[in-house]
Amino acid sequence: MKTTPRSRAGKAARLAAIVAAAMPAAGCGSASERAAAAAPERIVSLAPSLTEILCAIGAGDRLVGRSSACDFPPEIVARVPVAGDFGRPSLERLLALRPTLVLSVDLEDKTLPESLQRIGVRLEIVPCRTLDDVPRAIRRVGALAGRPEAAEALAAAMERGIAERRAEVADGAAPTVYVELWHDPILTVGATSYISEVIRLAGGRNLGDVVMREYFEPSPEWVLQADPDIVLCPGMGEAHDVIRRMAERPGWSGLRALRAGRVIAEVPADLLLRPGPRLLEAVDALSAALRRAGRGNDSP
Amino acid sequence: MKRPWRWWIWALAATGGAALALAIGPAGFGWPSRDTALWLARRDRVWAGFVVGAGLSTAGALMQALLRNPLADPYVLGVSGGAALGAAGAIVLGLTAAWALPAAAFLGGALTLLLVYALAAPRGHAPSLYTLLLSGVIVSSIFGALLMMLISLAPSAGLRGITWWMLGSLQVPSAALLHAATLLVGSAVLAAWTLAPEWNALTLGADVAHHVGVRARATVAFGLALATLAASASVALAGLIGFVGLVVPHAIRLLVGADHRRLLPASALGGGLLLTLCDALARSVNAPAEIPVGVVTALLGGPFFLVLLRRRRGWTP
Repeated sequence: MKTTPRSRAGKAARLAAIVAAAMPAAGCGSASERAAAAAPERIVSLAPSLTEILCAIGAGDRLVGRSSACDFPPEIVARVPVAGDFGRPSLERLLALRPTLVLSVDLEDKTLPESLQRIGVRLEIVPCRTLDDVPRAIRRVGALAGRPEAAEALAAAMERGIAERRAEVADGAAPTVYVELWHDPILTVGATSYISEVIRLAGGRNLGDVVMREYFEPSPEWVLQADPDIVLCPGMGEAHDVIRRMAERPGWSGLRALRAGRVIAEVPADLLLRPGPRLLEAVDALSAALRRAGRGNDSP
Repeated sequence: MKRPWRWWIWALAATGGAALALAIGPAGFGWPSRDTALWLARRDRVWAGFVVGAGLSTAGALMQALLRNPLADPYVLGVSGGAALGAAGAIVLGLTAAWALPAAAFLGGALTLLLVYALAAPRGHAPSLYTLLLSGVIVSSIFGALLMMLISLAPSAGLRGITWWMLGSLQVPSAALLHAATLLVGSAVLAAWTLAPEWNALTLGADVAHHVGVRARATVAFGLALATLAASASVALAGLIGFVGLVVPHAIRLLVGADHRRLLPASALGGGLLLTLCDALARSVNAPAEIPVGVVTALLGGPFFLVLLRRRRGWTP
């Protein structure tokens, strides 16, 4: 049989797993801890937000693997190989990268921590889903990656920025924002989503906040009845295309936001949807877009 | 046993169902005032329900007659797999025009039927029904595998679109698409109804059909084309809504008998009625969120059919 480098790596991985399983787990763990203390970590990040955090605190050079969804910053995408999908690594590719530390927000395969522990790879789950998670995640990643000072500075600046913007947001007069993430069938965001928090901090109010879910498929007539002030469509093309497409739906051409052209399509989806170090940038971009949409046309 | 065919009962039920569906929605119970946005949205949705329901049940009734198989439905010849693959391909390729996805679904469904027919037919001869069914099933499973491959390759946003599209929804993306689907499904349903005596002859077998003067091969091919037209147009408008095409014709057959002169119009109306009422529930029970309409059709239609089956035993094609 012809042996390719890939299948050799696979055999090595299986062998390693068997050997590791036969060894006492405690001794294995302490060995990897000693190694980590001596040399800088070789880190694999399985979440785009954690990849961004690592690079923002200057630990990008320790990144040896990323998920296929990690697309920012671009120079990391060019340099670092892919170890699998978002929260779903390919075990063989992961092992081939010889990581000492694997970071993820969540894992699809709940048995993965055990498999990684057996082969002596340290896995850390860093929650990063909400606005308040982000500074906490930055500090945690900083501690794990050996850059605690840079992480502290970034997290503190972010907390100040969030507090300032919270203080600026006026009560009451917030325009209602309908978010559409997909068009067929339509998909919007609920109260527990990160983007709902970003909208609030930018001075708007998410229409879908009446539903306690992250995402849901709303009924079109609910949107028609609510008649939102502003429509926000990240990653769905140019504003005029979005308006044209939406106006084709029965009854939608009468929506105030469409008639007045108050459709925000220019803020990139990854910026708005990803809880990461670009949080304040996302809030400011959206806040500027909301102000632009509110000016010029009949006021919301 | 001859059952009376009271066409006005069906017409009345369809009208009543449409009126009821117009009054139900997440915005509350009651008829919306004419020409408001809410009225337009509900009217087009009820309209879409009747078009898709009629298209799927007519296609199912035709397939069951032509293939003389009780398990035949619009999807058994790979029309579903082909349509889904076409739609997924459009999503993965990033074609975002409102027309791209339905057009790709329609093309996928229609081309798949041609492929299945060509594979099943030995050079210049009519395919046997079993070969046709078998190649349909095999092509379906190959396309299913290709679809899964596309899903695993798709970017996460597109993935969402594909999976939801596979569950089906009666949201009308554009009035133009609704009109096009109405025209296609309407023509297919009317043509199928006109040819009802031919389908009656065919259900007795190709030999009998030949003796009563029906050209079996051409008629089967034309019938399959009509069924594919109705199914692909429905799928293009609403995605994959299962169950209606398989079970509605059976239920209607138990109610009005196997004569296609009654079965076809009654299936079209019954399928439209079932889908429209199920959709009214799908958009209301968990408002403002919607639940997939295919879930409701199976949950309500399934038990209803089983009750019918127990009361009137036996199945006759």
